[in-house]
Amino acid sequence: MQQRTLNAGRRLALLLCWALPATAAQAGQSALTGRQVMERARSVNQPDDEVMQVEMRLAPRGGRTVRRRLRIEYLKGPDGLDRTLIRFAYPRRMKGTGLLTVQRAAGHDDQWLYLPSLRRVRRIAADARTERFVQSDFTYEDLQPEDLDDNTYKLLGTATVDDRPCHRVEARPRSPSGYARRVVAVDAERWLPLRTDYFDASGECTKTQTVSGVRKHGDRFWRPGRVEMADHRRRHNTVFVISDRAINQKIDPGHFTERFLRTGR
Amino acid sequence: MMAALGCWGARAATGGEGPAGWFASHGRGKLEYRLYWHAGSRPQDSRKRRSEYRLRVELDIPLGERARLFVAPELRWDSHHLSAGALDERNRDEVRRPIFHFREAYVEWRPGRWDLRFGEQIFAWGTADGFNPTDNLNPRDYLDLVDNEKIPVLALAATYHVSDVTSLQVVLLPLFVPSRFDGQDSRWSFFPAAPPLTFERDRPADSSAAMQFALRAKTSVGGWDLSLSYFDGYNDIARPSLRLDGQGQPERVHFDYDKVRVLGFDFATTWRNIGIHGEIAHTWTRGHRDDSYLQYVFGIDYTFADIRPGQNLRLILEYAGERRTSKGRDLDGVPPTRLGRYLDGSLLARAVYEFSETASVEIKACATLRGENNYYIQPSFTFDVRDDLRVKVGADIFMGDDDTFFGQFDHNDRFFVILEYYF
Repeated sequence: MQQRTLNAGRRLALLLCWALPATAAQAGQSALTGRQVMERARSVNQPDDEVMQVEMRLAPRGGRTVRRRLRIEYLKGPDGLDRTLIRFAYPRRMKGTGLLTVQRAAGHDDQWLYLPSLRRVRRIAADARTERFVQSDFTYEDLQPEDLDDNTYKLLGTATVDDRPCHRVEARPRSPSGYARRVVAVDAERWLPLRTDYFDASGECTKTQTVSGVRKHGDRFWRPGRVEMADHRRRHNTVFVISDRAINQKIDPGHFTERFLRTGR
Repeated sequence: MMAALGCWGARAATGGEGPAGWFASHGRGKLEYRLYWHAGSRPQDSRKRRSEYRLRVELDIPLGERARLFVAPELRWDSHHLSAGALDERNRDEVRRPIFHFREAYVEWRPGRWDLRFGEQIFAWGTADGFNPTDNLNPRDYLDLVDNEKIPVLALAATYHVSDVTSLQVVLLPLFVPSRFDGQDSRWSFFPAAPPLTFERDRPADSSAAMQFALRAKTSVGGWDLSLSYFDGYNDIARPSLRLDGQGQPERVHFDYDKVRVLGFDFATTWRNIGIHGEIAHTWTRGHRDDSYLQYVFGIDYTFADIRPGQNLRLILEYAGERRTSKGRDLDGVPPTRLGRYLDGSLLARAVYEFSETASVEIKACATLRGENNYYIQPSFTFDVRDDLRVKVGADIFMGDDDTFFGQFDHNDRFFVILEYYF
C-alpha cells in the first residue's frame, strides 16, 4: 500500500457523509439562485458523527475489478474541526492499515498513516487537489465539500434524474481546478446532488458522478447507498457501496488518536 | 469497534460464523514463497539457488474491554538451512533462524491513559524510511543482508498518554538478544573463507545488571511530530576481535557486545505536498573499545500524480551521514562488519511507479558517496494477480570495490521471485 493512496480520508468521509445531502424540510422554495441551491445542498444536514462500511470497486473497462473494503468514522470535534479515521479491512494484505486525518484551523490537515506490516505510524503530506484517491476515479477535489466562495454558480433550469425533479446548476471554479466547469443536478426535494458532469476547457465531458440507493436515515438524513464515478477518458469507473451507516451515535473521541490508529482499540 | 469491523469483514469474506469467520475477524495470514538465483559465487558459498517458504499468522484476540492478546506464529524453511530449531530455543547464540517461533506474542492491558504490554515485541521508532538511527530496541537478522528483518525481543513496554498527541514510553528489556549474522560459510559472511576459524560470543549475562531500558517522549505540535528518545543497553551488533593460537596464527574470532547509550531525536512534518522527516542520534560506547559516533538521516517524499491518467510516481529521497566523536581502540586485526554504520555520506532513494491498481515498478537504491564509492540497487516489478495473490520479481545488484560495504558482496548479484498469498 502506498502512502498516497490513502490521503484525503476526511474528504472521502465528507463526500459519503454530509457534504452532499440536505433535508427535505428545505424543499419547496421557488426562484432560487444557483448559489442558494448549492448552499442548501451543502450546509444544512451536518451530523455530529457518522460511521459506515464502504466497499470500493475499481473497474477498468474490460479489466478485472479490484475491491477494497474500509470502515470510515467521522467526528466533528468540540472545536468544530473534522476528524476522520479510515481503516482498511480488505484485501487482507491491507487489513489494519489506517489513516487518521485531523483538520487544522489553518493550513493543511494533519494526517497519519499506520502500516501494520511496519508497525509504524507516519505523518504524510496533504494532498494535491487533482490527485486520485486510492487509484480511483475520484480526485481529492471531487471529495472536498463544496466551497461556495471558490466557485460561481448559475441556475441552468430543471431536469429529471432517476424520476426525481432536480435543479440544474453550473459551477465554475474561481481557483485552480482540474475542471473548467461542472453541471450538478440537485434533487429539488431532498437537496441531494444526484448527478454531476465534469467538463474540461474544451467543453468535453470527462467524468460523470451519479448516486443511487438513496434513503432516509433517522428522521432527517438522506444518504446515498451507492456513489459512482465514471472517467470517460480513462475508460474506468469507481463505485462506493455504503452499508451499516450509523449517524449521531456519539462515537468515542478517543478513536481519533494515534493510540487508536495503532491498535484499533 | 474493531470487533464490529472484524465481524463485517468476516461476513464479507466467509459469509458465515465458525472458525473461518472467527479467523476472518481476529486474524490474518500470509503464505510466501521466495526464489533467489545468484549470478556468481563467493568463496564462502558457491550455491546459486535458494528457495524459502514462510507461513505467518497474526491473531489479535480481545480479552475483555481493556486487554488483548496478540500472537504471530511463524514457520519458515529454506533450502540453505538458514533455519534450524524452534522457538528461538532461548539459546540466543544460535546463528540460525528458528523454523518455528513467535514473531510477536504479547499481552496488552490499557488501564485509563496507560498502555502496558508484555511479551515478545517489535518496536518501530523513528521517522525515516531507509535507516533509523534512533531505532535500537530490536536486533536484526542479517543472514540475508538485503532481506534483513527485526528479531523480536522480550520486553515490558509502558506508555502513558498525556494527551491525544503526547505520550511517554518506557521499555524494559530483561534479556539481551544479539543481531544474527553468519560466520564464514554464507554468501553474506563478513569474514573471509580461509583460514577456517571458530567463533565465540561473550554475550551479556541474563541478570538484572544487564537489563536494558529505553525512554521515549513524543508529541505533535503545529504540524510537526517530534520525539526524543534514550536507550541504555548493548550494541546488538558484535564487535569482533581475533584470537591467535600458540604459533601466532588466527584461530578464533571473539564477539563482544559493547554497552552503549544512545540519545536520539526525530521529527516529521509537511510543507505543501512534500513530506519532510529526519532523525539524529548519538551513540556513546562505554569503555572506548569501539567508536562513539553521531548518525543522522534527513529525507523528503513527494508524489507526482497522474503522470498519465491513473499513473503515479512516488519518490522518497534521504541523505544519511555519520560523524565519529570518539575513536575506539584498534579491533585486533579483524575488520568490523560495519553493520549499522555503513551509511556515511549516503544517498538512499526509493521510487515507485504505479501503472494501475494492480501493477507497479519500484527501484530502491543506496549509494555511499563519501570516500569509498559503492552502491546497491534493487529494481522490482509487482503485480497483484488477485486481491489475495501478489507476485514480485526483481534483482539485487551490488557495486563497488571489495573493501567497501556493498562491494564485498559484488558476487551476490541475484534475481528473485516472490509469491505472496494472503488469507
